[in-house]
Amino acid sequence: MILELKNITKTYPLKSGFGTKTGKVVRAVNNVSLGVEKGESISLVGESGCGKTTLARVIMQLIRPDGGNVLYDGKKVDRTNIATYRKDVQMVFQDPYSSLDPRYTIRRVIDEGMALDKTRFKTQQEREMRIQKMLGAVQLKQDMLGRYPHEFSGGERQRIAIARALVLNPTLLILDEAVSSLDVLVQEEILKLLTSLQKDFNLTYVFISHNLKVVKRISRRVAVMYKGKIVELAKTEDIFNNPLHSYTRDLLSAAVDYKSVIRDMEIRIPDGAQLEDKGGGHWVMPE
Amino acid sequence: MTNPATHSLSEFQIAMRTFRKNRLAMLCVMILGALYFSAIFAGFLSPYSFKSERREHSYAPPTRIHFVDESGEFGWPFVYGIKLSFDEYYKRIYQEDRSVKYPVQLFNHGDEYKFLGLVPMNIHLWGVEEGGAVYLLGADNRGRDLLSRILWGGRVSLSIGLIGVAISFSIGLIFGGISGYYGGWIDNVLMRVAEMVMMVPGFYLLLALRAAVPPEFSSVQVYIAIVVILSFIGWAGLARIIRGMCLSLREREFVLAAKSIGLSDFSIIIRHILPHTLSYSIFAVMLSIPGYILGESALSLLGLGIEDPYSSWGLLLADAMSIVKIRFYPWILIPAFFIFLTIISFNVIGDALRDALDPMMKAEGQRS
Repeated sequence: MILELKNITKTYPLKSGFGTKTGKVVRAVNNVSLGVEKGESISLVGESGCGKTTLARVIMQLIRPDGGNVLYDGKKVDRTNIATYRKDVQMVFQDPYSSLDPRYTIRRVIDEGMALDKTRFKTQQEREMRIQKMLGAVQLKQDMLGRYPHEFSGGERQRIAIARALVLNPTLLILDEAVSSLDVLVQEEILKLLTSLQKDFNLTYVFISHNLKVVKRISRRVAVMYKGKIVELAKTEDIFNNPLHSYTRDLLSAAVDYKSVIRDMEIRIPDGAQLEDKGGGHWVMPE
Repeated sequence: MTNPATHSLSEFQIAMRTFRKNRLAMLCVMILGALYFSAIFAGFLSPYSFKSERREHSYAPPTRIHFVDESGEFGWPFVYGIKLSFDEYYKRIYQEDRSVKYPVQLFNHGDEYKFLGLVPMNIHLWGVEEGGAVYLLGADNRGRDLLSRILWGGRVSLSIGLIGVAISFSIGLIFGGISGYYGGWIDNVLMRVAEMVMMVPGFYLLLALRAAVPPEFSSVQVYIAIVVILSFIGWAGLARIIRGMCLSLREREFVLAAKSIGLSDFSIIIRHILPHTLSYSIFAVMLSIPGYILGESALSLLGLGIEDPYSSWGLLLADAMSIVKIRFYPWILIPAFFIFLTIISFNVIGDALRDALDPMMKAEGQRS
């Protein structure tokens, strides 16, 4: 197991209109545990606000969880090993329009991470070679390097963002809604690219999305999140063919026709409930 | 963009192109350029030193420069001598003394000064020979050439804005950047400090701080003290705005991306956050320089700033506080025109910069 999340909880305090704390909290991520195998691709799906992105940022150590641990290669990630962890785990962000610094040329965007790692990339030449290689890997042209992000389309920007993430040669890539803001054809291109990159660079993907079609294409396992908890975790075909949790069923039918879902009744998750093993790697939260 | 294949322009460069198309703003840039140029080379451009006085020429009116002599011939410009007489109320009356002529000389030798503050020199661009006097903008109460004093005064008045802004913006950017990026209690402490500075009415704080400066300070020390005082008052407003921008910038994905690549907090603030406040800061700088110039003028006007015999525009105007003097010697108001010109120019440039940078700021999510 390359990455292991143990009882991750992240809460945000609710503030009143005057900015004072009310004592109430929102549990963005509530006691989530998840293991990621090396070389697999696992998807996190769920509606907006269910805590997917918060979880991704906790994995990236961009925000500190209130409870629980992130284990990488069996070791707890903390201040002492964060530097090496950052080299191994990279993230592609949701919005390609804001994930690239508008003042940086593409060369600087890609180069920035390498410039920090003086031991691995010693000379300017070495770095330039690596940039060229990455550019080839994400199928961008050489003459784009001197240009600024605002000159590129969404799909091209997302390729640049992927190149930036890959340049440090990570083992785990977190893709937070990486194709959601792109149109369907470009989505398709990026998904193809991601699939081939996974083979070429031996990557592990944690793919976060609300789009089930995309999820079905790219992932081997799917974790369905609802209100900060994982309610169902199974192989992709099991989720699509044999959904066990009522929220998963809602989500699937909504993907076909959003009118078919009648959501007057809130789905409740009992306090302290744990995922139950239904066999064959299919885990479900009891209702 | 004319040719995107060969050239790539950053958004900032595009904004600067828009700025250059603004004719009025470019005119103001030229005006300021001329003013700063004349301040830097004040010693050379002015016919006299700021402290060379001729008491017998107290409040001498602007000297006429003649191109046509008595015989009606057009020739090299010259001035006549100045004849002083008194009317029945003992009011000084200056008349041209047609018996003596002093041709205007180029590169003549006159008062000693230090070129660029370093090289001792006595060559002036223009002037008249010893004995004659030329006061293009009149003379002040001690018979000192007003033009020379304005040019020398520009050194103080114009530089105080730049140095003041440089100091207060450095403080403001660092305070605001740290406060906004870290948030939490750091933010709370820093912003309360800023509010404490803002809370005190600026002018009284100015006076109070000035009162704290020891009286035995030399003129240069007083100048430095004034700059420091002015910037101490000015940084707080900027720090608050920068802090607000940083609060929103730190949530931007490129900042998160930089963090996940492994950049340190310091590098992120310097490389990815503060540059994005630049578009705002640039025009904020332009719009706040007049405040410093006016601040210095106000202090000098009240006699708390630069002191005689040194010169600054505010100090020159202090003489114009009496209505009687303005009635009889209207030229002593000319320094006000220079202050006015400078401030208008900075404001126009600031506004034009705001217009030019606006799309960029929108793109950066700072305005909507």
